[in-house]
Amino acid sequence: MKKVLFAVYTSPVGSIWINEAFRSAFGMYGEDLEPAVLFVEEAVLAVRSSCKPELIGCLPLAMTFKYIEKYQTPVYAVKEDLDKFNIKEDEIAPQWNLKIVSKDELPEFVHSFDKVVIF
Amino acid sequence: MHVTIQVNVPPYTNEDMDTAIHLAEALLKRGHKVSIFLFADSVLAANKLVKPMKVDRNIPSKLRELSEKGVEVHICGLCAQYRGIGEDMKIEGSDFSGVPEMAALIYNSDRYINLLP
Amino acid sequence: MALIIVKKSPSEKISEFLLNLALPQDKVLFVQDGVIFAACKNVKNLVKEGVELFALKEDFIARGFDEKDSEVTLVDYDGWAELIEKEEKVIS
Repeated sequence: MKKVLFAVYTSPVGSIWINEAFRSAFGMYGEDLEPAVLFVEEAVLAVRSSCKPELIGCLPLAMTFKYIEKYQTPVYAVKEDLDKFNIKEDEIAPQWNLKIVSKDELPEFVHSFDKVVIF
Repeated sequence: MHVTIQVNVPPYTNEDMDTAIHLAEALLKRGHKVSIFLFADSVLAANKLVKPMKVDRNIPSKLRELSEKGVEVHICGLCAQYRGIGEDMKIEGSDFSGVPEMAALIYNSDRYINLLP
Repeated sequence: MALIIVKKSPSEKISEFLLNLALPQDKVLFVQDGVIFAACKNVKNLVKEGVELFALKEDFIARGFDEKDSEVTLVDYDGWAELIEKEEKVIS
C-alpha cells in the first residue's frame, strides 16, 4: 500500500482544483493506494458550510461528501491558514470530518506520503 | 525507471507543456520509461487540429513525436469531453484515459512529477 | 530524500509553502518562473540549513539572467533528470 497526498492551494469557486483533487483521490481506491486531501492557503475557505460554488453556477463542493463518507477519505487543513480567515470550528461543514495540521508539522506530514500531487 | 509527468494547465498560455516535453526528452535519453498524463485544460495539447503561427512550435506534433519514441501519452477522457476534444481530433499514439489510469501511474511509476496549476 | 519542484515566482504564496516543506538533505529545484528565486541574494535563507538549491539553466537564461547571476547551482534538463533519479520522492 502506498500513500498519496492531493494538496490544494487554490481557492474554491474561482477554479475547479478542489473538485479535481477529490475526483483524483476517489479514483485511487482502484489501486492499492491510500489517498488524503490537504487544504492549504486559500483552499481552506472550502471548509465553511457557507462556501457554495453552486451559487454562481459552478459544481458544488458538497458533491464530494458522500464519497468522503463512503471511502472515509481523510481531509486535512492547515491550522494557521484556518486562523488567517478566522474560520471557527462551528462554521466547518461536519461532512469534511476535518483534521487539522499545524504549519510546524507540515514538512514531516507531507514527507510521510509516497506521492504528492499539488493543485 | 518509470517516470510520469502530469500537466494540468493549457498549452501556449503556459510553459508547462514545453517543460514536460523537454523533461521527457531528457529522461528518454537517459533510458527511462516516460508517461505523460494530461489533466484538466492540458488536454488541449493533444488536439492535432491546432494551427499555431509558422514561427511557433507545434506542441501536439511534439507530443506525437514523443509517443513515437515510446512515451505513453494519456489524456483524461472526461477532461477531453468537457473541452470537446474527440477521438478524431487527438494525436496519433495518445489514449483517452481517466482517473483509474492516473491511479495506476501513481502506483506503478517510480517517480510522479506533477506540474502544479 | 525529496526533490521539491518550485515552478511559481517568488511573489506566489505556494512557492513559500513549498520552500517551507524542505527538510535538511532535500533538494529544491527552481523551474519556470521559480528560477527568479535563483537571482535573489537571500534565497539560501528561505530554506532550512542542509537543503540544496538548484535552478533550471534553460529557464534562467531565457529570462535574461546571466549564469553568474545565480545564487544556486544551475542544471540543464539532463541535470534535472539526474536529480529525479537520485531523490526517491518528488513533491510538486
